[in-house]
Amino acid sequence: MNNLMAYLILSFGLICIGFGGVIINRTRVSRLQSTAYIIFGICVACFGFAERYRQQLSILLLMITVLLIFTAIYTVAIIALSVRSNNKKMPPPVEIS
Amino acid sequence: MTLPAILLSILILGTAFFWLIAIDPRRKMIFMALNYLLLYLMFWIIAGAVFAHIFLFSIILIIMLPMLIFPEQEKNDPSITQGLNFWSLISVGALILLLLFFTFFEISRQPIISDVIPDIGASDVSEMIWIFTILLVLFFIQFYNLIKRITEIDE
Repeated sequence: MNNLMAYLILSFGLICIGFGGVIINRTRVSRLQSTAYIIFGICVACFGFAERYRQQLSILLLMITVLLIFTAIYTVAIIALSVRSNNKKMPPPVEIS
Repeated sequence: MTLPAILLSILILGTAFFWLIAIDPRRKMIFMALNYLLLYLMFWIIAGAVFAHIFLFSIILIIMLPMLIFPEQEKNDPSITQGLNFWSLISVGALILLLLFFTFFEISRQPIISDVIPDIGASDVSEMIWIFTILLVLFFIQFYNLIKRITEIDE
């Protein structure tokens, strides 16, 4: 087994676990955390191929962009969940008769 | 090089699998943290220090952001949330700026990448050290508050 094979198996496993987590987990936060595994799996596969085909720098810049975009989306999603749960906690408006 | 890669792969997949099947939120958190640390090592080996630093601060954000905003979920009651307050926003902002700082620091140390992005030099980084110190202090104040809140919930 060479390095690329190990990276590809790891990447496949991480992506499967990510999708499994999205299906199995009940809370929304855990589901968001599962999507991180999918992104990390893609990163591992890309770096495995980059090591094999000598394209390290271009793949590195691409994956840095992907990771930063994912981090931004994750942050916004968590903040949106927090705001929505705060709105749910507010008592219903009282009707004035 | 092959044996460490295979061993790391097995360990990462094992911890990820235990994270998937764990029901207790604390155990889930422990397995997730272990898994991310192993992934950090793996990325350091295959992608280098720049990506590993960005990954490190992404995982800190992924782990700590829900703990800051939803700390009462530790008691299995998802309906009660802490919500966003001023200090949560400050600490999230501090984390993001720390991420940027370490990224630029690593980029300035590696000549191959600093050729690609020529505007970032070592002098810019040295001027940012005082900002970094303030951010670090803010981060640890918030981290202390978080740990205190969690231990109070336990009691």
